[in-house]
Amino acid sequence: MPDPAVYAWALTLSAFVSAVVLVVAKLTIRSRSQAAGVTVGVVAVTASMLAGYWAMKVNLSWPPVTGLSRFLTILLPATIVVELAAGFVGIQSKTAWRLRAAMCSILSPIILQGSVYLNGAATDGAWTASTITVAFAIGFGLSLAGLLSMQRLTERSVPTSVSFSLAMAIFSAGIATMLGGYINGGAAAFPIAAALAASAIIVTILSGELSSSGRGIVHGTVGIGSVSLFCLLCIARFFGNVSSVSALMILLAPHLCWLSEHPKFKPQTRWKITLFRLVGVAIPLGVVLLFAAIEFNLKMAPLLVVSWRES
Amino acid sequence: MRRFFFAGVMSFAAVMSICGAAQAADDYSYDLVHSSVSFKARHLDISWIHGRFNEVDGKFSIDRQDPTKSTFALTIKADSVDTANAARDEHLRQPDYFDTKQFPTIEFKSTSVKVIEGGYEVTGDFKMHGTTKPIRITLMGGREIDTNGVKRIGLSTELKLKRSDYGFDKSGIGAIGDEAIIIIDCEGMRK
Repeated sequence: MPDPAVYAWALTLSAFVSAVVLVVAKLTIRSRSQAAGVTVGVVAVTASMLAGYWAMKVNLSWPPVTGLSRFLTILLPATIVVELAAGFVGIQSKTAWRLRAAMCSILSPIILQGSVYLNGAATDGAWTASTITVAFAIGFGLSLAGLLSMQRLTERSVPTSVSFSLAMAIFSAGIATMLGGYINGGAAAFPIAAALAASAIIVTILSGELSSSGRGIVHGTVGIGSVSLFCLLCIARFFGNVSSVSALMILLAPHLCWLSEHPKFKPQTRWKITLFRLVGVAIPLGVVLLFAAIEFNLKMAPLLVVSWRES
Repeated sequence: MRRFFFAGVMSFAAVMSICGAAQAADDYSYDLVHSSVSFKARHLDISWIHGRFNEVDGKFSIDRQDPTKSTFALTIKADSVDTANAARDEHLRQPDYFDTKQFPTIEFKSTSVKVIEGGYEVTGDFKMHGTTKPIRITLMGGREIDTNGVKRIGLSTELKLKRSDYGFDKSGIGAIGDEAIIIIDCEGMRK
């Protein structure tokens, strides 16, 4: 059964570790370059996620045989390495984007590896070769377009709001997955969401998000967050009980931040932009969570009520 | 000529003996209508939750002359779990439990068979949730009867398994006990 105290502890620890790494980096690292910022951001998020998963006592086995364990042991570390490398070669350089594209091309195949979908005609629900090709192409397109959109948005005003909106989407993905009945899959989202949210707040307070290093930190965290969101939703959709519509709504919600760039809506101050973006992102996420909660109350809650009464 | 005749007779005898040995093993298919694979697990350590798997397939080859050459194989579709509660079944299919999209089948394949009084002691590989472990089961039965030209045998066993031994996440075990008792009652049939 899910233990809210454990999740609260994991979220707090993740946020704390992220904050500590960013503060220590601010006090000790002299370089204010974007590459240094990316490195600091990636290290902060990585340390924060490790602390969160440690607090939740996440059980990782090798070789990884489930979609979630393949994400945590292969794809997440690979994304961290790619974003670190991107920081060194230039976050918007062609090399960086080739690395990211290569990364996005392996996300869906690795998550679905060995599952019924890829087992040919041997099992029910198996996809045909053409369906697999289309599914992988869609996965590649969605993940790369999502990453490109988020990274481009961080080049505009108030980049930390992009981090924060991604954190909201990741947290919502976790809750929706849990409400669908996949507890561990949902919980895996919490440390990532906490790391992104904490780094966004600390960068706003300390570094000045419009500085070169501040933008670098946000770039690094947004890269990890965007890929993580795609992977978590892919796991929730294909192994858990989250519908395609809900998964797509959560995946696309952070991109509503672009609305604030439209001349018609563009708010004038930083805080207004942040508020506009976060409210815009929160609306579809709230709708998804509302429907997930209704379905949970109809299907899963009666099972829990029986347990509670008996205990 | 005599040598050719002798060689011919020997070859015929060898072929016949091979055919005889092959005929000694009776191959049975799993009769889904008269069989069941069910399980029970403790709930809150005060009661039992019962369930069954509705889609099972199997093959048994029983060698009457040399029973140690007999083989038993069973494949259970994990997706067909049925605990008489649709929401709970849906939950059991998810990755916190059976993870049926990743591990669609639960399989048993015998590796050695020993005859015991009233049945067989069968050692084999049990694969569940992506983990394969050797287990030993006592299969009782094996007597064949003929019903309207269809020959049937009945076999039954009960085994205890710890879900944690098969890679089920311990945090997901919770109110449902770690140990599950699996009850297999099956009929094999051949023409």
